[in-house]
Amino acid sequence: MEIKYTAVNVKKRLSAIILCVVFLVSLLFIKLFYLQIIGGWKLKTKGLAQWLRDLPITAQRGVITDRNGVELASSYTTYNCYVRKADIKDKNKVVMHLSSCLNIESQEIFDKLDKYNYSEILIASHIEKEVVQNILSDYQSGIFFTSTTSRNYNYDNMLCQILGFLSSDGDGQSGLEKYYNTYLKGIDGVSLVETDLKGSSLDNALSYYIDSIDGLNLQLTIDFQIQAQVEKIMAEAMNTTGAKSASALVMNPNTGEIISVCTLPSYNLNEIDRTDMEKLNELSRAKTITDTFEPGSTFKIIVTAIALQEGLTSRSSCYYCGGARVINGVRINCSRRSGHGSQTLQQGLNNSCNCVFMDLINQIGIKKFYWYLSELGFDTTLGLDFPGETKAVLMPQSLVTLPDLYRMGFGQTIAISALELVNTVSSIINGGTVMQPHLVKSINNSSGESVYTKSPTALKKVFKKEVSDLINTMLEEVVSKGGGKYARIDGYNIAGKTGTAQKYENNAIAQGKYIASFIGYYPADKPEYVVYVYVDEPQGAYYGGVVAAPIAKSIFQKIIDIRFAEVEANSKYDQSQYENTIELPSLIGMTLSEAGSTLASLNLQYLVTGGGERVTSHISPPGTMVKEGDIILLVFD
Amino acid sequence: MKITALKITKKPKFDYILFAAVIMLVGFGILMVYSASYYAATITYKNPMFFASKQIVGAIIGLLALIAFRFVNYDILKKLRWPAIIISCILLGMVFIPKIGVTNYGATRWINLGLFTIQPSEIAKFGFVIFASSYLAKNYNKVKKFMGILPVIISGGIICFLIILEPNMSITICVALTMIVMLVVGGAKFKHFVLIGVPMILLAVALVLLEPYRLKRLMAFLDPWGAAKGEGFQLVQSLYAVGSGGWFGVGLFNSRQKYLFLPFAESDFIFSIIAEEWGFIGCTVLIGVFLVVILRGIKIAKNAKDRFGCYLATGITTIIALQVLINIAVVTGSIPPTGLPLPFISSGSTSLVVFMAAIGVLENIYYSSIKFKENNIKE
Repeated sequence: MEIKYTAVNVKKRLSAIILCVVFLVSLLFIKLFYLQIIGGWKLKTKGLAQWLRDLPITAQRGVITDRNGVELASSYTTYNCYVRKADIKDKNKVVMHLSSCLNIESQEIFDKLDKYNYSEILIASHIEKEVVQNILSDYQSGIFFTSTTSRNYNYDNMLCQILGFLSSDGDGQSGLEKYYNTYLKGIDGVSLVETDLKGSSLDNALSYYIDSIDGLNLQLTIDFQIQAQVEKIMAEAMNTTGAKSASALVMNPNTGEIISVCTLPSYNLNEIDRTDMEKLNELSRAKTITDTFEPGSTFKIIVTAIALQEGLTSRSSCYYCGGARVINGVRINCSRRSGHGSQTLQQGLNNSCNCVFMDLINQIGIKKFYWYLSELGFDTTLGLDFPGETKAVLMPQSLVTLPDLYRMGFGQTIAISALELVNTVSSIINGGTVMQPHLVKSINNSSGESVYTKSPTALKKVFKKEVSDLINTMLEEVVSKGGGKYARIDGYNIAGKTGTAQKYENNAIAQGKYIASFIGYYPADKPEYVVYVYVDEPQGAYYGGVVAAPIAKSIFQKIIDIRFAEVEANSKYDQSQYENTIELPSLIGMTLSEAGSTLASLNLQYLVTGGGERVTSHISPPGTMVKEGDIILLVFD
Repeated sequence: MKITALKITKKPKFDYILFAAVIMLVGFGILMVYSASYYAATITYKNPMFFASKQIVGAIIGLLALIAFRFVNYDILKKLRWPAIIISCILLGMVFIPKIGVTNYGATRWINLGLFTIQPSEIAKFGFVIFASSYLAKNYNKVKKFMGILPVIISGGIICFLIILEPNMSITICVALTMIVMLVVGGAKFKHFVLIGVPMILLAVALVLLEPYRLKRLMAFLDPWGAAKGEGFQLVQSLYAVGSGGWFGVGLFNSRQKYLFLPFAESDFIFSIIAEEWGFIGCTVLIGVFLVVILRGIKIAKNAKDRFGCYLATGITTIIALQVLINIAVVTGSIPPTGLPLPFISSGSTSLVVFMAAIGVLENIYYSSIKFKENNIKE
């Protein structure tokens, strides 16, 4: 029997409400299906990014060695100290302890902790293991460390402009460190730990460990022993000449390998002063590569070679010097105002007589001369593996007047880099081939296998062998009898040419400012080392033959001592630090005391982070080759 | 012999299906409150059982309330319509008395009764249902006129007004929608809904524009990723949880989002954690159980012995259905976020006790209708 007072339309309306509910629930099911089944993996992937906290494991930056394996720049492990706010138990204690161990004002640490809202706050970076041990001696929860890598330049100032330095975040900022940054840097690894929103690791958290890949090692063409001597000699030269700057460049003319390069004043790569960026920029410029200047008489070698190649002259061709040439009403003096009188080409070179070379270049002509400059690569860079290589500064050919051309004959009104001069002279004396200069001989991985080897690269054959041989004969005489005599070493056939260039400032000759230079090579008949020395603004004597030639002589003397006299010099730089390496066993799952005694038996030290019972991971990871005394970071999560 | 035969065909006087479904929900709720909250509770209160133990206490009191209301003849509620609406208003008003009202997350929604805090709006929505059912039953012949339904609209309006002052947008909407459903079932004319609907919509728009945070939230709902660290944070975190569930979920206790990532994981957003741990299948089963509760509730309304029972059952069921729908819609980003607990599941003792008491009332309506039929048969 039906209930009388329930109207039928109430039941209908209730049924309609059921339909509404079912309809809305179906909509929700569609949405849920869309979120969980269709788009679920996308959401989960996004979620994953916040569930894991990553600690970077810095790849060890590659080592830079000289051609014989002597380490010039090396990397060693240091530590970054972080505070994880969520894990702090006693904030005051943590701050005070860190303040005293790290020599940071406690207020500064407090400020950092209050200011930043990240889960991990960096307190100090690149701290040494002794400091870490101090902090750990009274460990406060909330402090932890990550290992990172620091750069050490084994010889402070040596090759500072060439090696370059790193930015504070570990990227090469100048020099080879910059040019080869990608190779040297390696690939950072990462250690991922499951955490909550605030960054505290979860109990029984999973950890993921991706090891870093160490950077590749650079083997330079530089010869450490010669470099060390060059640096010493140049430092003395700076003292005796009182010059503003002095540079030397030593190259193998047959391969284009740069054996030594030095510019003074220099700076200490291990103590970069970033407060005065202008000064740092000035000091860190590899002037031999990045700066141009008027080379002066050393350029006469090039003019001579072109004239010989063109058959316009010979060793015994005669020229007359009255002390000057007048061309288009412009008087251009020779170095000796009274004139050299009548002389052969050889004598012209010996005396460095400007008139001879004004005649020669006049014979060559602007067009031919510029064609040769182009052939020799003056209108472009040579492709040295170094940032900032400059090309020559040439007047546009159409604007060159005859007086300009005449001046070019003795190396003025044309500006080139020391590298370009040395490389061009090399191409003249090595039989006529322009080689590509380079600084890196090979790139090797951490196990010593070569991944890249630079083979000598010929850019162009410009001069005939006969021209080359003749130049060698003539330039040997310049040293033995002529203006380069201060570079002479009895018993050794050194060849070369001096240069004294007037400096121009603001388009006018700067009175009393000279660049004294000397380019020479040994052995003269079959050159292996080209040495170029130039002294910028020497005080007192300023002639290349007087100022620069003796410096070059000292360098030649050392090269002969080291490479030509049979001296056992290598033993000193034995790579003893590669001895006593141990393969690190796995410590995962051990308690602190077990891991400690294992490490102690291997003469290894350790650091601890995390609050767990057993080692969950460690850095370096199992199987790594470690040295005695290294620190292993044990993670107890 | 005839009597025994009659007894065998006699329907049970208790809706076991409804009861079982509710007990399953409450039990599952305790489990999930624990799962979703133990980590946060350990961090905040150093007690992993902080929320779960409260929920257990709420469930016990709720069960007692359920049984009690099962045995209280619901006709009494009809007479208590004025006390019900007045006490509701007083409780809602007490929220604004300093030191008694408790403010959390920028809203004053709780009153402190010394030992515990209660949320008056949870009580008031049922208070309104009692009043409206009673009025509509008594004046069923007047509902065709607008003046006839005006008392319901006014009382509902007052309750809504007091709740919006807290502010609590979500329960306001819940009460307003319940009122509409009750008027529909009560037989009000559809053209009258336009009369109350238009001002309500205008009011809602005004409220959104009045409080800038509501507009921000609204925008965050449309593009939660645009403000994933600000307004959209909670929704984004909820979607991560729901999305991580897949078909079968990551397993009980294995949620990652409960590690402080998802705010209110144990209360308003507990469905996200359920979706994460139990997956699409688990969600389907859970929603299925809710549907059982809702369908049983409406069935009880249909079979009620009188208009009051019918309307009361409709009101109670409507509140449950609305909260389930709105809650799930919010955590899945289907409607703008608003804080509304999932009935029987979300952490919160007041809500749990009141809902279970309401189930007791439903059981009594069921019991009365069976008994009424039996009496009629006997006659």
